Amino acid sequence: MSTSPIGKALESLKNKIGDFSSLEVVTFRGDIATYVKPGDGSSNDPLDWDKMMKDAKTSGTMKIALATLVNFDGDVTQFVSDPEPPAWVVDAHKAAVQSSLDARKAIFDLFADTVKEALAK
Amino acid sequence: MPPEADNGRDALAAFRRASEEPAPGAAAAGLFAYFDAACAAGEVAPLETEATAASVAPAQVRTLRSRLQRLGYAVVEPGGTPADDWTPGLAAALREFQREAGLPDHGRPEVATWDRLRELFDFETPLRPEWCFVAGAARPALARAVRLRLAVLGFPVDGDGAAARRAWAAVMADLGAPVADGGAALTPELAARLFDHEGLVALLAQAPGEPGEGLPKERRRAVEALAVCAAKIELWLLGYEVAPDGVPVLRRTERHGRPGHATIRLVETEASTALRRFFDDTELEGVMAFASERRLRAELPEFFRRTRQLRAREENLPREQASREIVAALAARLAERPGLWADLHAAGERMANLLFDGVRRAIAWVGRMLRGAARAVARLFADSWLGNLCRVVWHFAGAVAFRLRKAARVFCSGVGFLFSANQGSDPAGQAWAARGGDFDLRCAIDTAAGPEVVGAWAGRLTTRARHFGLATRMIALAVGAVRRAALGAGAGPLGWVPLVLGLARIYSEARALGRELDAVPL
Repeated sequence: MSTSPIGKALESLKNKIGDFSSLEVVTFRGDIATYVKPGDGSSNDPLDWDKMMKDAKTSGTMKIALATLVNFDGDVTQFVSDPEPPAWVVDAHKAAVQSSLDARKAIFDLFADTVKEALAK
Repeated sequence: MPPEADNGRDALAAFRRASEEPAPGAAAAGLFAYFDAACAAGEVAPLETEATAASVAPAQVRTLRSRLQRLGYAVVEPGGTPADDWTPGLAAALREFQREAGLPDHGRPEVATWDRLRELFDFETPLRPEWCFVAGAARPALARAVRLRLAVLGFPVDGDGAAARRAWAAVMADLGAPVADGGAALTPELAARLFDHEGLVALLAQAPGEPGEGLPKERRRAVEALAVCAAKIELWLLGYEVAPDGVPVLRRTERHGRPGHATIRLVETEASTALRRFFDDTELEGVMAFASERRLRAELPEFFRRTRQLRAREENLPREQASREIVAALAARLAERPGLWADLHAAGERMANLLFDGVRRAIAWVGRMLRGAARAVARLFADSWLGNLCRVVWHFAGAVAFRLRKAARVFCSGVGFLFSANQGSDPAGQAWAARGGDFDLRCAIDTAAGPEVVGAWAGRLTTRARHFGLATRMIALAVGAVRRAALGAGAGPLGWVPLVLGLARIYSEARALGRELDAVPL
């Protein structure tokens, strides 16, 4: 495996293209303030997601509430924590899954339409 | 606000009041007054018939002034005028150049003007003979450029430059490349040879020993002078601090503090320093930093050979090798600055925002202009079929402008959803979503967040995804429109049939898209 930044970027791109075949939405619940990065708040991404993911696997203040994995062939794997999260958290998770599905579908439709138009001639 | 704009607004308001009178049709002639007033008020921009200070970048003005003056055009303007100010004198000089170069003399520095200036000035751009001569006679702009080129090559120009041309032709003959009729007339062949800098360097690179070796003293000096001037041009092209000023003899050697020694040096301080640096950079064995001028002169053919090799290397650099070099340079830069990706991402976002903002403003301006024009005409011809037609156009123009503005906002929001790293709730820190590598999402909800905040946040997330979906459909629609237009254009006389059918389909799809747009909250 390449150690140069470009090599890593290409490796990452390859992995991500492979990752398009599945869709993963994970919802955490807990004390967000613990993961706010120090700074003036001007950052576009103020949360330390890496730390949150790491803590969620061990014993952090954030816990996975819901997780959904949608495979390209339609298989869906879901994780629901015990005790069950409130209904509005479940609704938010459903909205997140739906928005991701919609966005992915839009991209696939765009390419499919373009290919279809090209093949029609 | 400048007083003219105030006057314009007053005039515009007065015209609008007058146009609401019971008989607005009587004021048909006032249409021009309306547009004049609208222009003065800044509501519409008048068409530019000539370049203005605002339409030409200061750097371009500076370059244009310098080039025109070097070609000998008189730029009449007050003393102390800054070099980057657009003045009537500069516009007049530009119009004269355009006339003399066979271009329309509109006084605007458009692409064709820059192209011709580049041909006349650049050492690396070949001269195209097709525009330079009319019925066998050289255009005046070319004659000026020939005099300038001769001067840069070290041949002092007097009068029409015939003497300088003959002197140049004599040196070329000594280099083994004689010019027809000894340079007496400005012919296409002479112009092509004179502006062929690469050909001159090739000639000088072929010399086996010192330039002009074996020739009588005066002729050898002339060849050496040309070689030094050509060397200065080459050094300048390579980025060394030397000006191609056509001055091969800058100072006489001094002995014991007394000027006027019989030997005239051919390489002045700046040029000799640059030559030594060049040999140092290219590691020419045996040429030291303190090499004598005689040694430098002897190495001039080697210098020309090396500069030609450098140029050939750039031209023949294999594409894949160039890519590898670029990637290696980028990798090195990334290693130096790990945050570069983030900077590039932020810069891309800023650029996209600027672009979308410009598109939105342009659409809004077009909409305002169309509505204004239709309203004015409708009021003027209220009782005729033209008035009714304008009212219809006004209605649809307004609807189209509104729809386009909304589409632009949806497109901006949709693309932002694709590229932005996260979506947060308000107040910040209660519910957040971060995008993964593709469309994966990680959502974080604070225990203190209530159903309202989380519901609003989730709604926004859903809306952004719908915007994104509509944005991709707009792209597909635009691609389809371009393809159909190209298909129609390429189908010959019957091309209008697929074009009309395609446009009808696009209109139908756009209407369906419009209905969906109306349903999307912004």
